Amino acid sequence: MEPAIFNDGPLIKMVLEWTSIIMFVIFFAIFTTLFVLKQNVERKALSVEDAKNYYLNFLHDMGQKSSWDFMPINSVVRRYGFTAAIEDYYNNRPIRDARVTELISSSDIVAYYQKQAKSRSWAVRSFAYLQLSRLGLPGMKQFFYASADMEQIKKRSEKAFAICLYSAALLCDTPEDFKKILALLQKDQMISGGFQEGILVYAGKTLKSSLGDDKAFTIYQDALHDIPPSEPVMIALVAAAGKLGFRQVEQLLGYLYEMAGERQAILKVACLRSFGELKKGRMFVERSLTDADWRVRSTGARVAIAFVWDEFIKPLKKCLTDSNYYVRLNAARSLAGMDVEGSVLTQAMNDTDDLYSKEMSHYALSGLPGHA
Amino acid sequence: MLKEVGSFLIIYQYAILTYFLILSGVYSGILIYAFHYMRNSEKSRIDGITLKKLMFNSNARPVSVLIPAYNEEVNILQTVSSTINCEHPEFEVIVINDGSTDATLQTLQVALELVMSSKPIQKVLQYEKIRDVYISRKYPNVIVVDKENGGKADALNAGMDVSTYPFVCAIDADSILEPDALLRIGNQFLMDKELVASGGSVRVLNGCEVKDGRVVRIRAPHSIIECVQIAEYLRGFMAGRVTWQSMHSLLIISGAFGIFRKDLLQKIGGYRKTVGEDMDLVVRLHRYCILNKIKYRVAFDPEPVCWTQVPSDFLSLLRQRNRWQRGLVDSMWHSRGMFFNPRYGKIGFVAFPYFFFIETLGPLVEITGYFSLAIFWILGWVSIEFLILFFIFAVLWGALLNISAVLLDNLISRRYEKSSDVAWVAAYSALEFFGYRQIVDIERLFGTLFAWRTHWGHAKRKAMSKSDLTDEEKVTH
Repeated sequence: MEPAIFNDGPLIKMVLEWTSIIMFVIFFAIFTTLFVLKQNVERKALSVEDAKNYYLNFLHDMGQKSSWDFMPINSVVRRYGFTAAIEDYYNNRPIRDARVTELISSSDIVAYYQKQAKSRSWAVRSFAYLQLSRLGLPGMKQFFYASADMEQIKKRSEKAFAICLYSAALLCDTPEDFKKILALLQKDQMISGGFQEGILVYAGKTLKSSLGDDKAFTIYQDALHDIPPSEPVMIALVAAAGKLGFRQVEQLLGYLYEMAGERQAILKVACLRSFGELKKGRMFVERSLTDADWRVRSTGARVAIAFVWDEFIKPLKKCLTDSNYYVRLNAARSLAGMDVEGSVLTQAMNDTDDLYSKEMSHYALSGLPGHA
Repeated sequence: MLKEVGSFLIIYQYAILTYFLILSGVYSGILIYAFHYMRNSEKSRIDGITLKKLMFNSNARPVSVLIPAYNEEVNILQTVSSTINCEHPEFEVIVINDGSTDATLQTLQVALELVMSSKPIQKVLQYEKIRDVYISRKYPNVIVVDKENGGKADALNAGMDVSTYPFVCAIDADSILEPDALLRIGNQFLMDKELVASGGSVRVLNGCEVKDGRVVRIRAPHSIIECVQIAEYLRGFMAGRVTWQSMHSLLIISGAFGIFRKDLLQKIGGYRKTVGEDMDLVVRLHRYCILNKIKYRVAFDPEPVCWTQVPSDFLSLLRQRNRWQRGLVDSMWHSRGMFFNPRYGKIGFVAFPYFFFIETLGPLVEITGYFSLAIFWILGWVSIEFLILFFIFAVLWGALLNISAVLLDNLISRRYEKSSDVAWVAAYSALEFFGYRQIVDIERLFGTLFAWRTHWGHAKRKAMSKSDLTDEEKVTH
């Protein structure tokens, strides 16, 4: 019998053959393009060889050694780009002097990445923001603000927006900068509250290092006054106080804690977290243990460990019988942390008929040496 | 009558060829898109130091890492060790010994200095009885749960109830997390507040050198089966998932490495007892969020990496693929209401049909295609041009894609130290379509036909820490 398939359909045969050829050509064309594009991240700005020499001269001028000893310098520059090499230098020597700025500015890298930051691709933009922030040029602030504005207006990418703001926060050294970052975060509907807190901590730390603790605190205090407590960014701002170590903020946080109603339990939680970090506001922490919201009670029980233990034993023991699991758990953990010999927990376990309380005390005790 | 049957078979043959052509096109498109995405992702990758600072300065959500273990005495310590060594502001590790019949529990007891503890458990989900809970004296954030055997899903549910934190990360007991894996996967939840679940990259551990729970040297495995699986993981899993997540239609987060919002998992009743619990969970998560009008996103991020052992013998591999197929069919059947349902948008109209027509029916189409072509060839019904085209689309194109996947991945990640390893893996992976895929397809077909079976079929475990270095290399390395 004659072969039936393909003998009766020259058109089908032609279509299939051409399809396979076209597919092959397209695939390889794209494949090769991507392959070539990948070869060098800063290809247009600086050749790998130039970047390598530039970086070596740079290190030589600064009297530094590369910390990339485990990789040949060529690989470092090829893989991470010149800017990563610069950042490596900064990691070894955080204080930036005028010579560093001059050296970086004399290259054409800034202009190149500013152009890249306008790309349609979120990844290219993010990369450009990261690279520009690595260069650490103070003059880039306005560029980052404008870019973050654009990211927000066009709702382009949460990652690019976050990286842009982070880059801006690293350069925040005036009250206006802090206000601008806060304003951007206030408008933000993209990134989480947890990350907003991180941005503000970065901005605050930069402020502290450039203006000193007192001036930085004044700027921070003004921000707390200016923003309505109902704004979501307020929670991040309040929580950042603890991480920034603004011990003078106790009174203001206390006021905010008082003002926060039942519907603003998260604001209370943020205040408590800061109280815990600062080891201040004992009165509010004690009060939080009887709050109506379990999240507040639970946070209070957790941060109580930061305070002198005997004042908290009684309310924490009471928390062991709380209706909420996490309140009981945090209370037991705090008690275990304060009571290294386990006598309070043993007593709490023996004194109560509450099964939940007994269980939780026993669990916390089992983590202490000699109480298995 | 015979002529009509003949005509039908000829048409079927054309249909099979068209199927392979479409498949090749789809896979090529996915690979190119995924490479483009991963290239971008790598470009915008935040370096380790910056990421660590970011996470520790932000209010990063604490994570409970769940490690279900059944007869994992060989590797469990490496897995636990890799997890403990992870960097993250706050996390706990919960190992769930799911009624192991080997010395898994005893191994953990000795190495972690476990002491019995009556940790109160907030019982929300259903699972077999928990016998004991232990805490580690050596590592305060490690808990070991000893329970009656109930399967992986059951163990994960128990672990979830024992866990304290609002995010749970499930990993396999024969896997190794890279030190920054938790930071990277957790960072996504900071940057995107609508994220409810995310998966990380799963890479093949076979052949690599592991020391104290860390992958210290990345080498190519020696066997063809393992090399082929590297390409399968890259092409099928990594590339596929990158593409699906870009379409907001990702239906699978690997059971070997995925992180979830615990409150949502509890609301959907946790893991369902099925052999494909990972896909089932994500599908039900989609359904829950859509039905309850929750703004959500399920993502895949290639940056956080988990290394896992893949089967090194053919029998274990076939068992695994049979199980995956049964899991796929069971999960699709359980959520069949989503199929072509406008309420579920792209998931109902794109992801579900893809998984049904390509992944579920694929093995059937491919196997019948190969067999009918062989019969036609014997009967002399096939012209040589047709045979060449069939060979190109069913075999050569796949081999080409595998080689491309390995090369592209190495171009981006540059994980292999030696170019010879890349060449080795690329060359061996091309052999997938020369017998390997056909045999796996037959097993998958059996999996589809016997989808109601629920037995797990455990693979043989090899020790991870065995060094592949020669004595000379050990001295010089």
